[in-house]
Amino acid sequence: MTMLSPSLIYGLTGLLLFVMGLAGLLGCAELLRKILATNIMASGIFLFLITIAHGSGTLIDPVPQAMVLTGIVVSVSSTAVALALACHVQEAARRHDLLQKKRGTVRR
Amino acid sequence: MTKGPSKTASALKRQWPLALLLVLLFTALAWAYLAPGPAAVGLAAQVDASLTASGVSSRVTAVLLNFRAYDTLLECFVIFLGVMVVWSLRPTTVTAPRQPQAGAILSSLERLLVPLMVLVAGYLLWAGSNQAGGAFQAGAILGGAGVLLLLDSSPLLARLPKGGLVWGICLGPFYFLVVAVAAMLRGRHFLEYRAPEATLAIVTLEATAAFSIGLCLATLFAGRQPQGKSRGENSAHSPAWEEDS
Repeated sequence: MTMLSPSLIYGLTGLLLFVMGLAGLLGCAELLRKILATNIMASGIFLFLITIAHGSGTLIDPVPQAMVLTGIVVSVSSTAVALALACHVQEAARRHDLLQKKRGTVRR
Repeated sequence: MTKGPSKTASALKRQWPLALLLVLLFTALAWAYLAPGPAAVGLAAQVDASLTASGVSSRVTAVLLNFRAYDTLLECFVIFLGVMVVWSLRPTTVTAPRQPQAGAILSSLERLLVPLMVLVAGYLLWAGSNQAGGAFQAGAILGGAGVLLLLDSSPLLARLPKGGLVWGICLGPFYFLVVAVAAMLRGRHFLEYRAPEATLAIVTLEATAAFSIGLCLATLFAGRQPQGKSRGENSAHSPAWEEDS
């Protein structure tokens, strides 16, 4: 068995975070939870990428680091877009509920 | 809205196939990660070999703004596009709960921290050419400063010129595009710049990109296009669902 080195722990934690985020994305019905879950998935991927950038050699690979750096900022902006859309979904759902309620009283 | 224990239990019972699949997925991923295989070949050696031609001495900055500048250009536009999407959506009645009166703590914190944050962002930008730091970090900190100003609905924001925001957001991505095309006008490939003039190009690119990223992040936090006061108040008083029904 391989020794549990720090980089191994980081890598496995990254994978675990990814799977946990996937569980939230698939298992939760609420949009806000889904958005948070994708964020957790992204964090897991970032952690994993940074870990494999260290690799086994002494040279640290700067390419995954650059990818993570841009990825963080892009994930912030995609989260903002998702939240703005979620607000619209909630408003539409509320309007739908209100309409249903109104129709219900008319029928009675 | 809290779920009862019985409801949670039934949800767990319903979702056990998903849990099983995810456990299997994690096992497979962990196995793929831990399995002995050929040693990963990174690009560290290639980056080191051509670092002198990049115009900067920081490897990450060289990758970001020279070797893979096309990626960074696209990412600047992704952030720009995010702002455009948020702005093009109709303002909703579903927004953050009404802001409490800005307290003395928040405003004094803002007075202390915002100048410091701008200073740190400037330092990170400057440090980016030879150590850890650069446009994205500086932009993130500037964005944080903007969020702090927005939380307090600071009078500083009201004094900003209206059109300035749009210009500031466009500055980073479009300056990047101009630099990229300028290389073509000199008979080179798109985004190809080399050591002597590359340093100037990278430093100016980083400064404009950081400024725009910071503005974009703060704008995204605000959630909608800044409007005149009267229009904003009107939309707050007449929820959209009343107009429709």
